[in-house]
Amino acid sequence: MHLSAEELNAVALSIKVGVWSVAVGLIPAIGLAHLLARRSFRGKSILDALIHLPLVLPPVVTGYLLIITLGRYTPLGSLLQSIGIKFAFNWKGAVVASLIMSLPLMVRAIRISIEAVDRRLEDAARTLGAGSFRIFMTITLPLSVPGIISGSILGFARSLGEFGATVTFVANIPGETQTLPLALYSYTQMPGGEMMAARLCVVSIAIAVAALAVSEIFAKRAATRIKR
Amino acid sequence: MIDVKLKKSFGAFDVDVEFSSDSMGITVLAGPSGSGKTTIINMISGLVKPDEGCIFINGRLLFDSVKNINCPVAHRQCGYIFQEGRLFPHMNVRRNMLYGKHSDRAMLNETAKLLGIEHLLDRMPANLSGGEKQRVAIGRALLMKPQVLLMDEPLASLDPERQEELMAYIDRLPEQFGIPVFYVTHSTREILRLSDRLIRIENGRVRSSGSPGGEYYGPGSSDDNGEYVSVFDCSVKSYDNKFGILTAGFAGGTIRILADERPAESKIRIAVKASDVTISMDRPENISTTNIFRGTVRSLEENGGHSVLVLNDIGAPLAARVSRASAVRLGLKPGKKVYLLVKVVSMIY
Repeated sequence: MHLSAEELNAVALSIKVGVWSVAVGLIPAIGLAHLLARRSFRGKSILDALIHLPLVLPPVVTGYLLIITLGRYTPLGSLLQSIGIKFAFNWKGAVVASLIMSLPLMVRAIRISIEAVDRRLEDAARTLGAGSFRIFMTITLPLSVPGIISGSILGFARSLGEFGATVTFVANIPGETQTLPLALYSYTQMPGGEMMAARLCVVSIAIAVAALAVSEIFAKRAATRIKR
Repeated sequence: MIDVKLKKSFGAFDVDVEFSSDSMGITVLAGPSGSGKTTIINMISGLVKPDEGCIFINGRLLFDSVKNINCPVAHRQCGYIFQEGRLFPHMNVRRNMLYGKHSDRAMLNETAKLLGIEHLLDRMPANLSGGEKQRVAIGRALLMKPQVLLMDEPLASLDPERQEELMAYIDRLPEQFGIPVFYVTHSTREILRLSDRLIRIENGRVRSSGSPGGEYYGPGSSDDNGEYVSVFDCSVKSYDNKFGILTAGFAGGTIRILADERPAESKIRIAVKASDVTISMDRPENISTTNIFRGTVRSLEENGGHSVLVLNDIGAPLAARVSRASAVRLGLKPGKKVYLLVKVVSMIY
């Protein structure tokens, strides 16, 4: 199967956006998951709802909300622009859209695995003189690695499939913001594009299966390391 | 060494205790399940915050509700051995043992050797037996050089053979490491074997505090079901290998006990349940029972049921529980001379 330059561009861009959104989102996702799993504070349910909002909102709404908060002429947008960060109509904007859409999935997966870490082990560490940060780094985090891996893969897969928020926020510009689903959509709208659409469809299935396989391998390795 | 006054309410149940112990040995906190023992040591360790009270360990004030002092768990320097060990499953034995913030690396090998775990240092916790896990947990706590060692039923999840093995290690801890131990249990066997001092807890209150010898209601575990027990401190005289019979001297004379081997210690402690003691008015002949003591009835205690607890003096206190019918038939009353029979096999040692 030979892919055209345009198709290759879309595939490469999708992977790039997926990797970046996981890379940028992972640490905040772990932080938020830990906060939600282990701390109680005022406004916890509001924060929880806010993180999960993109999961239930129509993606187009999320995309529109991104435009009115991060757009070029908004206060936040111009502030970011003054330090050289521009989201409008470029791949970084696609990363932001993917990140917002995949964050709830990552936080959920990581939160569940942090909640599954035996708190009594954390208590034991505390009696041995460890402070909260050390307990998190040496006990909680290593023991929730399986959840962190599955959360990352889920986030990556969600980014690959991201359509609505991306197209609304950064439009469909070949080579710049046209990720795999956007390209696929364009081909289906184009007379004679069925073949190309079908090929991209096969490619997305292949990437998704590969991602699942990689996560399975990592999760197994992490699990045996903990149990051994 | 340790001086506490603690109050904690859980709605229907509350703990309100005050005790101190200057023992450098093992202080056992005993009581039935749900009496508040674990809550008490959790409060000492800082894992549970008391509603009111104060905690001193070796003269250091760790908690005071009036002065609003609450030293964080991490700074209390209380080594804590939990019932289930709580080793970190993703670290090998060495990393577990050196986890403590101020772990003494130089002492690792020596400590491991004393606990018989030096050959396990590179193993993962999942590959250890229950007894080995607990010894690693003890080593881990010792290496942080704690002021006191708190142990919460550390033998509860082990089989009897491993319990014996671990008890030998625990017994030596205060002397070997110069550290006082607070030990929570409801097993009569562990009380007899380990305690230098006994604090009995019931319904969140201190019922008694002092030497483990004497007579009192057992903590109500499976080995005594809350029955009244008489505890004697004995010195080993001889051991008959052929029959497995241990002869020991105590305040009431000589007593024979069934034992699988000669105990390593020369001083041992044994207990007799009141329901295992028979009262006779004459000295029985041709009878299998060999522990026969001459004594005097001190008092009778009725609890409304059909049995009577008879407290006797045989040079040491020895309680017997008999049916009310027998007590009436024999005409038992204070001052009466009786014979007390205890089977060799019913001694708890």
